[in-house]
Amino acid sequence: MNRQEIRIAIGEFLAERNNTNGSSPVLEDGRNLFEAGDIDSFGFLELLLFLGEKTGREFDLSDKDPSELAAVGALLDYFAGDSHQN
Amino acid sequence: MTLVDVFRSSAARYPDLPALVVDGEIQTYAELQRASLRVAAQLSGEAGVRLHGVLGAASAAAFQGILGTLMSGAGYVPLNPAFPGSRSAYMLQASGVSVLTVDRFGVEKLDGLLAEAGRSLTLILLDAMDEEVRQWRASHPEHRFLGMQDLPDPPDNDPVDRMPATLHDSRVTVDGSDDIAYLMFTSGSTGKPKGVMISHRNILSYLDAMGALYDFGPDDRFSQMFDLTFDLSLFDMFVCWGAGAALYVVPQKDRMAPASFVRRNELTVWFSVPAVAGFMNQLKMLKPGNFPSLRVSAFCGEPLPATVTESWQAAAPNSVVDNLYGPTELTVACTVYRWDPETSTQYCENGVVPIGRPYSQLEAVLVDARLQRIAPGEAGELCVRGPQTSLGYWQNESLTNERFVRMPWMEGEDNRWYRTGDLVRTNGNGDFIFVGRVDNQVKILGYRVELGEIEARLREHGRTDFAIAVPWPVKNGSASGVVACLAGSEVPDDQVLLGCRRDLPDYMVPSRIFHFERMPLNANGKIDRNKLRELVEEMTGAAR
Repeated sequence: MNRQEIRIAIGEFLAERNNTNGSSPVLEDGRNLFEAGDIDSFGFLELLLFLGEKTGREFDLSDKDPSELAAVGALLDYFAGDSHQN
Repeated sequence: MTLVDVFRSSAARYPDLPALVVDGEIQTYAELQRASLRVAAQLSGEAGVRLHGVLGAASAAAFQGILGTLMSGAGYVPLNPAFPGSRSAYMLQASGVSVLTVDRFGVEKLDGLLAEAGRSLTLILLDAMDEEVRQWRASHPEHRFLGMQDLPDPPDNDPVDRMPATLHDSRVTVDGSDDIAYLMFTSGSTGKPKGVMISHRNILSYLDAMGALYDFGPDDRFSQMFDLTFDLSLFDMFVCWGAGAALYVVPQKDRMAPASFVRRNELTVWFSVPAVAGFMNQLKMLKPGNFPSLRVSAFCGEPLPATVTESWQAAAPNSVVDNLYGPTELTVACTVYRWDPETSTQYCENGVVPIGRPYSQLEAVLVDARLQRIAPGEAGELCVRGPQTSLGYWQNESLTNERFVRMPWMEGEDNRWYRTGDLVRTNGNGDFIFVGRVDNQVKILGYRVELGEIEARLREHGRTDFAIAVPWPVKNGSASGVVACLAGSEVPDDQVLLGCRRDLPDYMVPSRIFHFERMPLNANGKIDRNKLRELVEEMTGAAR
């Protein structure tokens, strides 16, 4: 999956989880999902698992706090498997 | 002896050791004691009060509020800033609390609480600067606001010298007061939370049991994971402080998977609900040897999957791994099972670790609906008696009499048992196995939830008589959410959910609503919850 596809997947996940009838916030790279109130810590981990399943990305968080991935851009970097491109 | 003595004895012995670490900032025992005594000095001046509220979360001020309340001689009522204001207001009203300490997380939600309070409160804003306190006074003149600068200096002659040297030294002579140490509200089947009264004697007895199980000391570093409205936080605080150890508060945003936090701070003691370990396992955080510093790992609050336990043990090879069990009414926990990597797998049933055996000072029996002991090997309701048995429910004598009972086959004053409502069986090894519930109480992410409380709100906001809450999805016997099934409701779903969000904590708000023309009934003419669960599974597909 490329960055745009992952961005769309994040939006769909948030729309379903937050019962927003399909609408999701504008997911710019700098948006922090915690600080914006889009998701709680439990939901965020579900999102990580969801994206791991969708992208097939083998992730290793043994030395990383999940909250380091709370910004949309960080999520895209992580799951698209590339370094900063924005 | 009270909980205060537990803290003060360590403060006297280890004044310069770290007691509390929040966001990297360390408070020594002496510093934490002094800050708490300032709160206590103020609260002691509030006449005729036996309970004070603490509205706070993972902050130093919240712990100062708890300690200060206890040092003032009152019990504390914890309130969660993440809960709706109406729920916290109900708890204040029900407990008669009119004075509460508030940390910075509580201040963020204070407007919601004050809007629902319905009476004048005294609020001590422990993290607020002068200007902020003045603004609150101006905007809410019906309430009384105090900041830290308003609090009196604590007395110089704090009588620490007459305290026992350590909790462990005083194990044999523990004899706590019957005063309430804390009033913990849990979900109530009739639609409102109910307050469980825990005395100093109750909690000191629990700490005594922990002292017998573990050999903690001032070199230990404890995780602090639990919300203060969760009674498992008592382990975090007072087992830690009783040993003179340091309490490391895990930031809210990392609480569901703080592997890096454990490594970075070289924690030696871990305590959480199993769901957290489950998440870490799924996120590949439980690599073999990843947590070499841990020497005690304990889980409590919901069924502990064997696969997660195996992974945790591999990640923490130098740690014992214990499964604790117990309802709030029995003071934090009352049974323990220690995982043995060589043999325990064979004793697990349905992939879940046994809950073990009662602490030595407690007695447990399995009984049928008529309170008669059941035959060995059969499942029965677990009933427990002993010094950890709660005083009962706050101002609810009928419910207290219903749940705290005398056994028909026993004589004497000690014949007072708490009916847990949990169906339990003894396995071939003599350990208890959790089988299920005798009622509609469930655990969602470790939180104890009465489905009846959710259903009461669904009926109210859905304007229907037919509302059922179904735990979903469920994995390894543990639910991570709930969905609603309604019949005869014409209220739009978003309105129903809005009402639920206003009244219930997040983990109790249904994630979806399913509508039925009529509810399926079982052979007794009652709504068939099992059938509804099947239908929900069909309509949602496999749990995501």
